[in-house]
Amino acid sequence: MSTFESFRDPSGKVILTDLDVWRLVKTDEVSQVMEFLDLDLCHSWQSDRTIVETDLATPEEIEALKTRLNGTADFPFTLFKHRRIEFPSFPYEWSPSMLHVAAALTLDICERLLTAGWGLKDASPFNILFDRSKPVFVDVLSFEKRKDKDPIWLPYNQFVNTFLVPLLVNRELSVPLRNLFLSSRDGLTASEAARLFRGLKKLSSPVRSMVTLPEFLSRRSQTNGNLYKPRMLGSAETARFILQRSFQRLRKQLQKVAPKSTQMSNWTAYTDLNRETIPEYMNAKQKFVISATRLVSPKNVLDVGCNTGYFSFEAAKLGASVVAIDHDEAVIDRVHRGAQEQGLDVLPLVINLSRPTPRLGWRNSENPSFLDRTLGRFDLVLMLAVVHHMLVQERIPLREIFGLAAELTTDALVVEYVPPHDKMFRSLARGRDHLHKGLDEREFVAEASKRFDIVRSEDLPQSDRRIYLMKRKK
Amino acid sequence: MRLLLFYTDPGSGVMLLQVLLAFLAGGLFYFRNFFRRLFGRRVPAQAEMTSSPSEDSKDAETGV
Repeated sequence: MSTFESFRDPSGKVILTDLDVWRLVKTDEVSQVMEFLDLDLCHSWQSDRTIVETDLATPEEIEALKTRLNGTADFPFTLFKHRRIEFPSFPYEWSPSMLHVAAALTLDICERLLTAGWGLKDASPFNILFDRSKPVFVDVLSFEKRKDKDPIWLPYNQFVNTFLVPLLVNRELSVPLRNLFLSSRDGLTASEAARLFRGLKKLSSPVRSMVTLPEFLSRRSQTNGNLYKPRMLGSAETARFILQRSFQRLRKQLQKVAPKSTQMSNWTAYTDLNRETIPEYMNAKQKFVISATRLVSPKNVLDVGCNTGYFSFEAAKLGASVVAIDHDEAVIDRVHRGAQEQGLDVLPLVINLSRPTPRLGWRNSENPSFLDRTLGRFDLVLMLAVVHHMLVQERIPLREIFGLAAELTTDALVVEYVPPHDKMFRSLARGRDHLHKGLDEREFVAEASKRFDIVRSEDLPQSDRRIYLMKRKK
Repeated sequence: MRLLLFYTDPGSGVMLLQVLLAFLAGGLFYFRNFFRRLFGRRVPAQAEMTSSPSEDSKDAETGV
């Protein structure tokens, strides 16, 4: 197992152990962190989980970590312990509505901090993790005491590049967020975005103020450090007023790039359509999955190809903590909104299990891959109407699919068999029948049985499909 | 000098915009206080989300 560390902030670094998250803060910078943790505002944020719960490590904890800490830092440090967010996720796995609520949280925090004389020294979505469907600010080193007469928020540009412009490009041009953030952790600059817009679109709102005008100004400005020199005013009140206006302006722009709640894709109406056209099939499947979930009574569920999240929500209602993945941004957006509205323990992520998120960052060791975070973590994996997509579109062999499923789950798997003559299978195969020659239910069961014991199975009416509950061989 | 071309700053446009808008906001703050004083209106501290009651409003005249 690799060790993942965060070290980009010169004031300290973060290390992860199996159960906890530890933050080393340079001793000469620790007084500011302590002062922040003592603020009433910080206490209220920790209790409503706006920011991650943080405590000084006890001498016993420091002693227990001694070997791990030896040589970790080349500076004297004080050790803090954070509550571990169950399943860390990154902006390249979020849907637009998730990035949008993360941006809103960053602005909320800025505005509240301003009234207390504090500020954020950076504004990156990497400061935020999702706990269920709720964003939590996790970087306590981002908080700093403001110079009270400074009217400029230096991370303004970072906020625009990592929140506003990606949301704008996603909304106006349907560029998936994962494409933007997988290739650049710093989002998209106005100059980069300007190349994507054409003709009159460049002059439309909000492209004009977020992309065209900044790009025009940056082409004409001389590059030197003077622009970033601190400008102190004679009055703290004026500086606060100006900053408040800046945050209000960013909030208005954020509203303009809010993802459309009616965003459609090929898959957003899939479940509803099935419920209308093949109700018996859907009812039988729902009954089977719910009764299997009750039987397994899982703590952690992974729903692969979750579509609009019906089974994720059912599993969460039965008390499980669910990670729901789908490659389609639009359906994950719906799952996120649904989980938020219903307050369910569901974390939706834009992931294609056939091409899961790789390890990223310096030495590929800053951000763990999706599989680093998932293997052996779930006691129930749902693969409903998804295996044929992996077989046909991605050409993953059955033995590989069951091999991965057996590494993802520690206990149970619910999987749906879709035969090659099924209408949906045929439409995916587009005549390439040689690719799955010989595939039938017997082969499906034979491959499954190498890794799993079949507990029960059931034919699904109005189709030739069959659904299975399997337990991993010990 | 030519080398400098490689060090273009794509963020300078957004930064410039923030500085320009800060000037405008500073001006707005100055004139608003000016007219309030001219017409003898005292604005309760509550109405100003950004102002602290302890601040001397005269400071506002400094502007940007």
